[in-house]
This record gives sequence, C-alpha cells and structure tokens, in this order.
Amino acid sequence: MKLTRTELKHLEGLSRIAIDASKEEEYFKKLSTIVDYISVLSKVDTEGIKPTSQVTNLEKGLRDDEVTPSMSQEDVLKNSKHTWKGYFKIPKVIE
Amino acid sequence: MIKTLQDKLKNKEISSRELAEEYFRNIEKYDPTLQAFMTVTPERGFETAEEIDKAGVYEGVSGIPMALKDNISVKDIRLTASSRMLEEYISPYDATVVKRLKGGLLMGKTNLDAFAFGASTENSGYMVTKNPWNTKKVAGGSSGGSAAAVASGMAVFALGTDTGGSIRQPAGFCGVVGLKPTYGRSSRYGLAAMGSSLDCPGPITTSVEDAAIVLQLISGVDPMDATSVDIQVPDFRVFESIKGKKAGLPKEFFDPSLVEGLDAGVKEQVLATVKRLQKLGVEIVEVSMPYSVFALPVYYIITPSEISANMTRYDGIRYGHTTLHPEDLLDLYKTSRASFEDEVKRRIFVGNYALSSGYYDAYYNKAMQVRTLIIEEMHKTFEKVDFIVGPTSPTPAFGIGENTDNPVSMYLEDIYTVTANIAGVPAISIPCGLSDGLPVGFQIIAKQFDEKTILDVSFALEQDIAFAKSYTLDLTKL
Repeated sequence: MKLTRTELKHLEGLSRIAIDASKEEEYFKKLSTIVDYISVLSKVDTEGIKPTSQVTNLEKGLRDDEVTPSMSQEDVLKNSKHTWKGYFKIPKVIE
Repeated sequence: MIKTLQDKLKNKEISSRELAEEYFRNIEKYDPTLQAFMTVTPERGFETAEEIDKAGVYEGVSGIPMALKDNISVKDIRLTASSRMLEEYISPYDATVVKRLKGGLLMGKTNLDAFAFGASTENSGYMVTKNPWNTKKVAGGSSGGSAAAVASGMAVFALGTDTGGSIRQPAGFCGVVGLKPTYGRSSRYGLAAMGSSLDCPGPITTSVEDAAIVLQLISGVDPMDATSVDIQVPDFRVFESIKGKKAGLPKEFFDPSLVEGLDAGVKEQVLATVKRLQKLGVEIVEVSMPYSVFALPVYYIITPSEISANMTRYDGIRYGHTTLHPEDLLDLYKTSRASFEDEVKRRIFVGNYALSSGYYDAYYNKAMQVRTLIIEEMHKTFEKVDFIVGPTSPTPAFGIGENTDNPVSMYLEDIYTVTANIAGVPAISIPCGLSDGLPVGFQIIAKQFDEKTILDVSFALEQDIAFAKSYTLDLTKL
C-alpha cells in the first residue's frame, strides 16, 4: 500500500499536529519509506491466527477498590500554565 | 563494582560523600565532550550521600553513584524525556524503580532520543551523546546517555528503558552490560510511556554482577503497574555453572538474504564468543526462527500505534509545552504539539495510520497476529534450547549523521533486539570484543522470567572474555 498526500493531511488532523509547509515534502518521503517497509507483513499468512496484545497472559489487572492517598491537588496542577482556582482551565468549547 | 565499593564504604576506606565527589568530578571532566547528562543533580546526590554516611548502613545500592535515563520520574527533579515538549516539566512523584533504588546517589538524568524514539540519541531535542570509545560515533540509543555515563565512569550504574533494544544496543555500542528484564518483571510506573506492551526499565552496568544486584532491587510486582507480574523473584546474585546447557544459534541471524549489513567484525566476534560457550561446556544447536525476521516490521507497527495513543496526553493543558493565548481548543492542541521533534511526529502519524479505519486490519491487527506467530516460534525454540545467542546489533557504533536521512536504515539497527520485546522475554548485551576499535555486543535471550539463566551465562562468559582487562577505554583523549 502507498501513502497518499490526502492521507497525510488526514493524519495531521487525527494527530492534532500540523506540519510546516516547508517540511511537508520531507515528511511525505520519509513516511512513505516507513509505510512501504511495514507493508511487508502482507506476505505473512495469518489466516485463523489470534492477535496478541498482552504477552504475559495476565488476566486480573484490577486493584481492590480501596481509597488510598494520591497526589495532592497542588502537585497535580503545578506543571500547568492553565489553572484557575484549583482547576485546569481550557479555552471555551461551547459558545 | 557495587560490591567492592560498598565493602570500601563499610570499612570506612571511603565515604559516600567522597565517592559522589569523585563521580561529579568525572562528569565535569568528560561530560562537556560526551553530553550524556540532560540534568546533573549535585544537590540531590550530596544530600543522599550525607544521609548514607550518617546512617552507616550499606545495602542494595546505598552510597553508590547512579544515573537515570531522563524518561524516569524522580520527585522534584526535571524530566525532559529529551524532548522540547517537557523542557520545564518537574516530576511530581517517584517512579517505582526509583523508590526501589533508595540510597543510590543520583548523579543526574541522562540524554535519550526524544521520548526514547530512536537508536542513537540523534533524535534528542537537545544534543547528541558521543561514544566514549570514539567521539565521532554515536553512543547508541535510546538510552545512549546512560550507556555513555557508565562506560566513562560518570556513574557506577544507570537505568535505561528498553522498548525495542534501547538498553542493549547502547550498552553494546559503549562496551558495557545492558539487561532488559522480562516484560512485567520491573514496574513501568513513573516512566514516560512509549510502547506500553513492550516498555521495560533495566540496568546498564560495567559488570554482570552489578546488573544482577540492580535487577534484584527493581524486580517485583507493583500495585501501581497492572501489567507487573506477581511471580517469585529468585536470587540473581548467585551464579551457577552453565555446563551442559544448550544454546540456540538462529541461522536467520547470519543469512545475508534476510539480514542485510551484518558487519564482518561483529560476526567474527560473535562466533568467537559462541566457541567460548562450547569451551565452557555448552552445546550449540543451530535453530531456525523464520518468523523472527518479521519482528522488525511488527515492532514498527505495534510501537507507533501504542505511541500515538500514549502521546495524546500531551495536550498543552495539564503539563508540557503550551501556548498561552490559544484561539480555541484545537489551536491549543496543535500549537502545543508542534514542539514535538520530527521523529516523534512521524511515529504518531504512522501509528494513527496503522490504527485508522480502513487500515486497522491490514496493519495493526495483522501485526498483532504475526506477534502471536513470533511468540509461538520462540516457545518452540525454548523446547529445544535453554537460551538463544546472537549479535546485539548488526554493526558497531555508527558515525554521527550516518543514518539520519532514511528512517528505515535507523530502524534496521534494531533487527536483533526487537524480537525479545515482541515476545516479552528477557535479554542482555555483554561486551565480547572489538571490531575496528569499537565494542561489539553479544546478546543472550531466554524464556520469560528466566533472567537467572541469562545472568549465569553472562557471568561465565564475562570471566572468560575478560573484556575490561583486555580492552581499556582511554578517557584521557576526551
């Protein structure tokens, strides 16, 4: 499969990343090389093979539902430049 | 080295403070050239040294100078992940592995490819770490800063993280020991996430015994990481004879039609090390692992997919680079995420491509299916042999700038290392000789949770090769 320029635009939207116009050609070239490379997997017959997403066969991944101390509000907010009265603040989404 | 130094501390031949001074002096001497450290932490290092000297209790790694890759959280210390995105980020908590290294003297946080995406530290948003053996060459990556720091005596040991070879390859390039534990053996809590089904923190050291000491400390289940595994941790620090064990040598590793560009010097050193194993009483069995050659494309689908999901957290709101007066929410996201380095952006794009509607089955799901085939093949191989051996990387350290034009040629550096991550098994790189004056890494892979076998084999080989005695790194030229 080949990457198209329309798809690259679509990916910029999905990724919430805009590429500088001057770098678009370079991105397209490098990404095309990567897509060509990973497409080699189409040669492998995987009919009826189950996909693996977890390698150590763990089943139980939940902790007991107990209240324990966690990070303080101050610590949670201290790396943000968008705070207001103990909250994170974002631009207005709904007018 | 850890044991020897702790004996000296116990006998009052040296204090922790003096040890810290010596290592900080080395940083002053060598780091301007090597550029291994993102942040040097004398305040924290000396503070701990004083506590240790006062208490006079030497256990674990207490009193020992250590460095941590800068994608591992240390409370109240800057964590950049070597990305401009996190230039001003201060960790609000300790990673579990950091808590478990209590008493270690923090020298600083080491350089990496931004967010650990790379194999040379050339993708760092700040600087390229140089190889102490030859400063025109890369130190490897992504844990290049950690490997260069340990190789040049700026830390006794370091932690790295390994998602596709990021501990083993730089260790191999810098002539030190690098161990990737089994996925789930050491907690991922407090690591800047990359590929969550593959990431593994582990030690970079100058000796196999030190790797065992550090692994012992960082191993074990952690309630803060649901994928850490509650399984018995054996004593890694006691080494047993490897006589009578069986080693598998995959023929695909040496087939030029499948693996391009295996350096002749690397091949020679690796095969000479295989002969040493025979001499030590190990039976060498040729094995075939045809699916292993697909581990690399599988890795470069699964990892970017997991990356694209993990990187959504960088929204410019809660932490990280941001714009102060955005037009709207979308503008806030886009302008903040513009600070990602090129390789970070590329991997997010590839991940979103592989996961997007219409391509999910052809890429992501397909890669997860081939992952199953690779795991099954690995299981079958371990029915016949106790461990698998081969090169860590196809070449010794390459020149700075040599592989930056074509991303795939950089990815091919990981050809021998990714299989262990895809299958979640442990693997190590130990120095086995030189090729053209540069260290060559020898890789040993074992079954899940069988780090013990890896360490036994490494220890036996280390005695036989005597790398540190045979080849001395000349730091006076730095």
